[in-house]
Amino acid sequence: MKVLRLFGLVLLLTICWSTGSALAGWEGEGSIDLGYTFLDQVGNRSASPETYDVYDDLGISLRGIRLRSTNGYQLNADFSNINLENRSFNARLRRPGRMNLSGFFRKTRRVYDFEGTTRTYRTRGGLDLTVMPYRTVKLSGGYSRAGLDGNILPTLGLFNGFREGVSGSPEEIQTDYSLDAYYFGAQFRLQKTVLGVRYRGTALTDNLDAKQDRSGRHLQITVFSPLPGYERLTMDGLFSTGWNRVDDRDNKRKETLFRGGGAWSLTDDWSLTSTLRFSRTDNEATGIETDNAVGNLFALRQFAHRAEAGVGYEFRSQDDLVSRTEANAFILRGMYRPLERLRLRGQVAFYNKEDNDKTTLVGDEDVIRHRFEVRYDHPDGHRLTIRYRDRRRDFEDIGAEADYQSVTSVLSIKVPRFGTGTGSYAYSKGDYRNTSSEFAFEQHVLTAQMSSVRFHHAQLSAGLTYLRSRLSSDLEKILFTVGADVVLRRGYSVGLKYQAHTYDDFVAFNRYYTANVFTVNVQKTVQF
Amino acid sequence: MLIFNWPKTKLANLGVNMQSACALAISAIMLILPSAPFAGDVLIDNETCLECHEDPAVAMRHTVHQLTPPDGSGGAIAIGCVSCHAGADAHLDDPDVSTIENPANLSMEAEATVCAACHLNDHQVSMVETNPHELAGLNCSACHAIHAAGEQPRRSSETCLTCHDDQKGEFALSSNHRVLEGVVECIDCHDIAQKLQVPFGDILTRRCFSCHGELEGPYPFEHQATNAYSVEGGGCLECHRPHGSIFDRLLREPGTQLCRQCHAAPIHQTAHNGLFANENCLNCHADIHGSFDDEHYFPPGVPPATCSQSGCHPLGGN
Repeated sequence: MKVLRLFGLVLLLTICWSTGSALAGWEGEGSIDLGYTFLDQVGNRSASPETYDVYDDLGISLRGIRLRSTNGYQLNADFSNINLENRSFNARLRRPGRMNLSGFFRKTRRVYDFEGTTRTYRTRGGLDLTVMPYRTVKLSGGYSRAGLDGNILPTLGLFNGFREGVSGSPEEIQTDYSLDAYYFGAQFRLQKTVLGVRYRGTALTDNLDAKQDRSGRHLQITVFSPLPGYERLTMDGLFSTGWNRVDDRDNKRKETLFRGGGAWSLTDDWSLTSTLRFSRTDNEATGIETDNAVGNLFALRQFAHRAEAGVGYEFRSQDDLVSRTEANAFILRGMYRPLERLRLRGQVAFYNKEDNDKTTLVGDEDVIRHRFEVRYDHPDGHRLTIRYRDRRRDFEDIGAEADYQSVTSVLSIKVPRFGTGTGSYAYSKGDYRNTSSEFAFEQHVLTAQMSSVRFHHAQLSAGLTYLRSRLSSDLEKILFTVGADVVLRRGYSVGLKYQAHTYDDFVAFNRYYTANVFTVNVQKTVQF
Repeated sequence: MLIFNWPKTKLANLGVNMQSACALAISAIMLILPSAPFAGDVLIDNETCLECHEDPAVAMRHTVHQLTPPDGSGGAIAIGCVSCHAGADAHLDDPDVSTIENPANLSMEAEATVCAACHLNDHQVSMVETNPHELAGLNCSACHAIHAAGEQPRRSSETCLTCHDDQKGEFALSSNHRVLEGVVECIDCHDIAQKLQVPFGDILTRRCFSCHGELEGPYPFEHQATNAYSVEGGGCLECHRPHGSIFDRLLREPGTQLCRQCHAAPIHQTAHNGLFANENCLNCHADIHGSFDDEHYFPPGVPPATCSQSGCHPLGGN
């Protein structure tokens, strides 16, 4: 079977090559890649997302295809791993200022169990066409399909798998659906005024249970414009209406949204931005009609790009005739450059939601958050950034709290004769408490990447990711990468890459994983 | 906030007139308007520049910025070095780098004015007028590789992560959206050209559902916490960390602990001698995003018939 598949692909490549050569009036280049990946893995296949889409197989790719016709058309395309399940295609045909036709397809895999036999495949693909009959008019349309099929393994449980009309082992839930979406729209522009209209339809088809089929239709109108005669005020508006429904029951959820906003430059130093948003959602299934209203105002003062200070306020209201909540939020933000290449930034925000009738589940909510950053840019291109963030969330009525803090430092170095390197270290901790339990974690994440300049046609790269999480959880993860690219004669190049993955969850006995991934890639650049 | 003053000369090139103003209201009129002129003039031929600067020209081959050959072929738009780099006359006299303009070193406003000669579109207008990237001092070249051989503009998430580098650590966590592997791109969720600092796309767009469409609903029995519009809910982000988490399915906390942040459920602590006190909530409430069958998100067959026969759990009740 594998031989037949390879034969078919070689034939396809030959056809592509010969067709490409025959395209009169086109010129360009691209590359043909043949890569073999050796995968050696032990342990729980579901533990490492990074290797879900690694196949121990030969991959054939056409990459970096860039064709240009004498009459101004351009074709860019990438076809990766054509013969494998993790294939990915991107192509774009365009004539700048006139039209753009793009398409994509991507297939990915997700693994759920120890052996890797319970898995799903997600596919996404679509086509978009944009035509500009005039430079002020843009007409567009497109179609896309996203699908998921396979078996999902939920978290271990007593009753999983009891789903009517669905086969599969008791521990698995079979899934097979596709979401089709289409849209068409138009955009008109006059100087900086942009008016857009867009209609979108969706249809979710569940191939296992027709009663879960759903569909939707939405119309959206947007406008973006400076105030005529006074360009210091830019306005933004949106109206959207539509519905989603369960086809079997004809239960609709209707949504209508108005949004308006503006950015007003009072002077070169002072600016105001504001947004007002109102939406109504009518859910026929639950019989609940919910109104959402949001209004905010943000004032910013700039000091000749050396400093800035801003203050903002936001009001939120939610009302479904049974429950009503109101929230107020404040934000203070500042930036200061004591030196040309040193930048300090800070932000503190408060959010308070009140449920006056105590009819919602979680009741009142208080949030406070801080963010600080120091960044230094060295004249030679080096950069050091240090960030601190925290957030505290408090639900007093139900006795729940959530605390989160993190410190991150990132150092980037550029050495012209040797290459570039980036290293980062992040420390974070969280603490979640409620009336019956508590969960806390503390984690360290270390990352490092380096890439050399090209020495005698060879370029080296390496990377390291280290994760350690402790307290209520206890896990460790390491990802190490080293690679080299060598440019040979006559348009050939060779790439070598080695990756080592390790994962250990010291609490769950079967959550361990180790993998060695070695890839050899031969590339031939082709001129069309 | 800087206001973007388009030079009159640029607007003239765009063919903007009162006819197109009317077309804003009636699209049909637009279709009969004359086509706008595209071609620009190359004042100093590219060959002169390429005597010293051959590398950029080679890199730009077959890209949208490929330089127009001397015979004028190659497309409707004539592109020359001096289309973007002003000051060529002085540079010919004194080849120092300071004598010619490099748009990449200009402010967003100034560089966008250069780009607007060809690329006056809604993305550019909104980025300049109201986008937070402009406030952060970034210009077009911060994301778009004008001379690079790759796709234009760069779509790779690496571009975003150059500045948003603390997200790299989040994508390294054990459960993550595979951005570093290229399976998901930043712009699949984040609309960078969104106006007025709305962090996500429009509320009705619901970016999560473009891939996870089966969870969008509506459901006959909704879990209101999953609905951003609900008085009870914060939407997907109430339970999931979209960049990465150390917990399966991008959960903010382990399943049961997460549920208990809102649902104290004291009856589970005592019923059946506390049998269910330490069970994973999702064992029974499996259809947690919404159910077609049960108001408690039990899949069909759960709870078993004996639970209802005991009188404690009448079917459909508590």
